[in-house]
Amino acid sequence: MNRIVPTLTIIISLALGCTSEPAQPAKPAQPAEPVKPVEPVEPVESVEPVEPAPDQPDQPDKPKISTGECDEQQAKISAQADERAAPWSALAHLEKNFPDMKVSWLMKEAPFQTYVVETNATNFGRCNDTGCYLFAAPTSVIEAAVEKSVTGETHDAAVLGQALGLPAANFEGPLRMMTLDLSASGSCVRLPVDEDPGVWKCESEADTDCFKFGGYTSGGVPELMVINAPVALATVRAIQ
Amino acid sequence: MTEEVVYQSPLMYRILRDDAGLVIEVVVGGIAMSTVRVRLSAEQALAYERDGSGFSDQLANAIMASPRSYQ
Repeated sequence: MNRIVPTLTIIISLALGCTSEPAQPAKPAQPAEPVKPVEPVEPVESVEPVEPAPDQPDQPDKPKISTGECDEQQAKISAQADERAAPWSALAHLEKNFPDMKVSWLMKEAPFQTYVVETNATNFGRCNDTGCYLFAAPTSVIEAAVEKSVTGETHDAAVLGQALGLPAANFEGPLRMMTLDLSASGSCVRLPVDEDPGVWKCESEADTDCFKFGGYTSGGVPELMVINAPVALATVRAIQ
Repeated sequence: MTEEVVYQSPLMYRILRDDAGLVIEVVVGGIAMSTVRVRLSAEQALAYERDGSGFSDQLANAIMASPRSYQ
């Protein structure tokens, strides 16, 4: 009997062991549970990580490149101009030459007073029943040319003309430099075309102050056609 | 010499009258704008008196397109 009891105990133990052992290996499988904490994935799924983008130092104030709010007619003209300029386009032109979406142009003081101030103009440029049409260049280009030409309180028309590839006569006397942030105005912009009001047709290859299709003046300065550039949103600088 | 503005167009030109007759002043240029003044011939003045801005718009556009021809 003394031998039988331990033997039975062993047999019973083994039997129980056989039934319970298989369950144990299953438990280690539960370590899958800790995987559940994969919940931290959620924050990854949320678009929030995109929001902190403005804090990224490499693109702090980069404005969105856009051709603005063009009506049906201007959109059609723009599409035709893009097709003619392909693979160039108004958007490519903006991205390359107007990355800050700021445009500028110059006017002699007298016409500025006569056609902008005295008429209390709403928009800059030549207006007809379809809109007001204005040629404009990158602010950085105009600004650099102006700074180069100014010494003391006056500017040198010859230096300004040379910097912008235009005759000095265009810059003699007091001037006004206008600047418009297209991101703020939302003005429609496109490549200028031959039919635009004010287009000065080139008469020879040597002409440097006339219109050539493609987004650059004959003097090589990038230019855009701005439709309805609001006077109220432009900054005006006097240049003596 | 006295000068009177006869007509001012949103296309950025004016018709002026002085002691000698009619003059058209046109804003020319693209990214740098200035003005050109051209005295109207007797025939052009007559055409303006007859057709008004229909004539002056055409003349102004012609001057904008080729300012040197009128200087």
